[in-house]
Amino acid sequence: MRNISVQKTIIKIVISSLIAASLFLGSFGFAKELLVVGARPDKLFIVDMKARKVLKKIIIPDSTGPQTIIPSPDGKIAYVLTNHMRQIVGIELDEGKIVFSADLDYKDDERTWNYAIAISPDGKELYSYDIPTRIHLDRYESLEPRLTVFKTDAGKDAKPDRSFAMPRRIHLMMVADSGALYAMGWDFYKVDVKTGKYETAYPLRNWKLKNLSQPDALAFWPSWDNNGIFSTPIYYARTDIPEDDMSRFRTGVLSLNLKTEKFDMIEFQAAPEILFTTVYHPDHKTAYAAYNTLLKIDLVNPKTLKRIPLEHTYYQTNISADGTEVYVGGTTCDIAVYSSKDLSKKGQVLLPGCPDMGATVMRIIHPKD
Amino acid sequence: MQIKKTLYLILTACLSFILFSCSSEKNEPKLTSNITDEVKKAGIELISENCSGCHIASKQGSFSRISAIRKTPEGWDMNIVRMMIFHGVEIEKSDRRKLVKYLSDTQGLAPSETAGFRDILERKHNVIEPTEDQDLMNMCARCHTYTRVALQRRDVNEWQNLVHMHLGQWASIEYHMLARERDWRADALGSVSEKLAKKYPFETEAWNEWQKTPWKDMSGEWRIIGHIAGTGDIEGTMSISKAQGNDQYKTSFTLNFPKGEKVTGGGKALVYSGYEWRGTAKLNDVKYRQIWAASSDGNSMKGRFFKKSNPEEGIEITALRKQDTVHTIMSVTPSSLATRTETEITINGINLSGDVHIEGTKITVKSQTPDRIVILATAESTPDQSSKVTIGKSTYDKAFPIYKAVDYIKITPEYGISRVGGGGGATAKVKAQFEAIGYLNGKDGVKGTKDDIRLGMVFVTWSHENFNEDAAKMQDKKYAGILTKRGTFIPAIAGPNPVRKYGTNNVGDLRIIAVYEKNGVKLTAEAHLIATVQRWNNPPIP
Repeated sequence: MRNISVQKTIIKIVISSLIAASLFLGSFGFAKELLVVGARPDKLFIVDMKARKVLKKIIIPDSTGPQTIIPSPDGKIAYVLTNHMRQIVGIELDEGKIVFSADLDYKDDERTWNYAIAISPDGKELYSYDIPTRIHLDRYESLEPRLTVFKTDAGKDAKPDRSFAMPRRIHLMMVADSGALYAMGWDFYKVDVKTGKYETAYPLRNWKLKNLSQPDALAFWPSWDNNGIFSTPIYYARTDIPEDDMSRFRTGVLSLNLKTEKFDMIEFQAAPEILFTTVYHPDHKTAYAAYNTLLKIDLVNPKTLKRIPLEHTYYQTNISADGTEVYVGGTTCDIAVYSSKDLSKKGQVLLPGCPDMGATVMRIIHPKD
Repeated sequence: MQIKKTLYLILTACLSFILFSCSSEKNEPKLTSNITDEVKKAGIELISENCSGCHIASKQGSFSRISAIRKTPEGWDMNIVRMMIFHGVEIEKSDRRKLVKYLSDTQGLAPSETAGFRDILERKHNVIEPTEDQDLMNMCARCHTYTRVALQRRDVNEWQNLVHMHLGQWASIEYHMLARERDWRADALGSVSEKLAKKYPFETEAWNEWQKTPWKDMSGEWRIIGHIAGTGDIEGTMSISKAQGNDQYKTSFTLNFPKGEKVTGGGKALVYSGYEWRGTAKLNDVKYRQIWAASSDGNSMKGRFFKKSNPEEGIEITALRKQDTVHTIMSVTPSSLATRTETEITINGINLSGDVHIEGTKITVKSQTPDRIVILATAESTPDQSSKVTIGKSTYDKAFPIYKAVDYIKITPEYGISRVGGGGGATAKVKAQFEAIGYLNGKDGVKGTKDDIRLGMVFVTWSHENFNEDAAKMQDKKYAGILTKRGTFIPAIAGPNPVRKYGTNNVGDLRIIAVYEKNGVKLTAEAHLIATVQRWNNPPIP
């Protein structure tokens, strides 16, 4: 009898919790856009940036620190890289349920580092760039990297659908509207996900631009959620300017339009300044860059329009769909909001418990009902 | 009364004779056998018990990977710790110690192989390693010290195995600055491994010879001199007695620190590879560690005595075995003499006897023992010259400058690093110690040329300023720390500082300024200090 009453009480609690949860989750339907961000060691937050409110905290089971986040095209699932870059976990955002999990160390004798993930436009395939090492009994053997394709409906013990050899040192991948996969590394490659064939789409290490040194652009942060443009700061030196002249160090913005698949590069300043990320305004006329400073960059007549000091270092920039608010996040536990017009501070969202975002990413989703 | 006195004298004389004859016998360095068959057998068993689960044993007693590498004791210990952390190997503390000992003794480095790389090994702070090969510096020394590489010996396949291990353990290795612009993996496995195998091969004549050289018994009476940067010279004695076997010792110290501070204590030590002296000691209740190297004849040791809690605080020492046949001057403090002033000078050494003579000076002996002579000296000669110091038949092997006035001063190190710490964090503050050294311009009258004469440490007034405009804007001087009267920079606490611009840590880019003033002469020197963030990973060889 006693057990039955306990069970009843539990059922009551569960039902009331579910009602509360559904009321809470019901707010999702009204939010036009939501920001998804990870934090160490096992947290995923869903934030209504316009309301400056954290809506939800999801715990990623057995996670050591989320890194990149790839939302499904319908905005319902977030694929999160975690466990020391060795596992992709797909989390259904409404209920926080795990719907997909791929152990990238899927071969018993291997250890794998993932350096990039992308998703097909129909949301059916995940592309994972992995660098494996074979672990022998008494030694390691570094192997060649590969592109592994997973089907997103492969469940919680997903095995690869197919895999292809890839060049080393790729650090970011993105998919164009056409479904073409682009991978950024020594050069920018265009990859055929059916055959694994790749070609240089835009030379970086191998560019032949007159009087310009080999460029440096180590981009890890997705920037295309609300503008359809991948963009990153890119650094190089003007080899025709003397080495003791600091103006030889140039900063540009390299971009790839994911609709037209056209690359562009503009140079906007001639001074060394650390910037980790850029984000295009949805109108494509200005861009924003951040690290210790937040910059507004004129893309039409390339120049720095404004620079303000940030309150601390932020790794990533993002922007609202209406283009009014620039978000800076990563590094600690707050996401700061700045006016895209004059870079005045408009607000801030603190993640509850002040967890460390580290190098995780902020993604903006527009969940479809 | 008289009888008692006579008896006492006789007894003292007898005791002295007994002690003297004992010590003269004892103080001769005895030879210890290097590696006996028994030790070898026990070592192989130890490796077999702890390592053979992964490292394949051969019938000849070798183990895959392990037997193809040579390292310092610190290098071997780091290796074992890596096995424990990365591969979950469980090794008893005592087995870990024994493994390090056995591997260092059988697969160590010869004295000549470590000679150029002892600074980092001795935990010396603020050492800028020579850039002997920029390619190797970019490849290896962008993450850890070059010393860590140079104190290993491997053939090409083992250097390649090390590269494979790096690629498997550190995901970002190909993505770092100085790596990502090249095909790091191809270069590391190719030209770099080949270069390292040529520079630091497994088999060398030096190690083969050293293994044949009988290792010495270090027990006996020793004389020590040393220097504490920014504070002054120390001197004293050390007794070493055997504790166990041929390589474990007990030590006791009686030291005189600057300003008459008496420091005593004792400890223990273990000798690896026949010359790598590693000791711990408590001096006036402060825990110290010793990383010293013995000479091949076993009669001298050099190295660093440093605080266990703050390895950056230490004493550079030279120790000489006391032997009846040795009559030597080890140090003269201060190391130079200004004219016009009667100065007390302490001369330290072994078996000092006979007349004290310093060219161009008038001397009064205040006290004299075989270990130490204290004199009052007044310079009479033409200043700005280097004099000879002699005591009886012993001549000091360093020049003793006599000068009218210091021509210029220099700060050492010229480029220092301190690290924030404390503040509830896991790592302690790392201080930076500066010292001002006086110089004469030398015969050519030009500062900074080869003939300049080093006078030694001078007392100065210390101050610090923002290094440049950027540092001034960030108010580095205000936040980064304080500089004591002794030239010690004590960094501020760790952690982001919300009142600073960007909420940055208490880091700073600073100029360290020394001002020397004497007899109307004012000299200044500057050094550069980077007050930076913590090191999170502090292995014995960083």
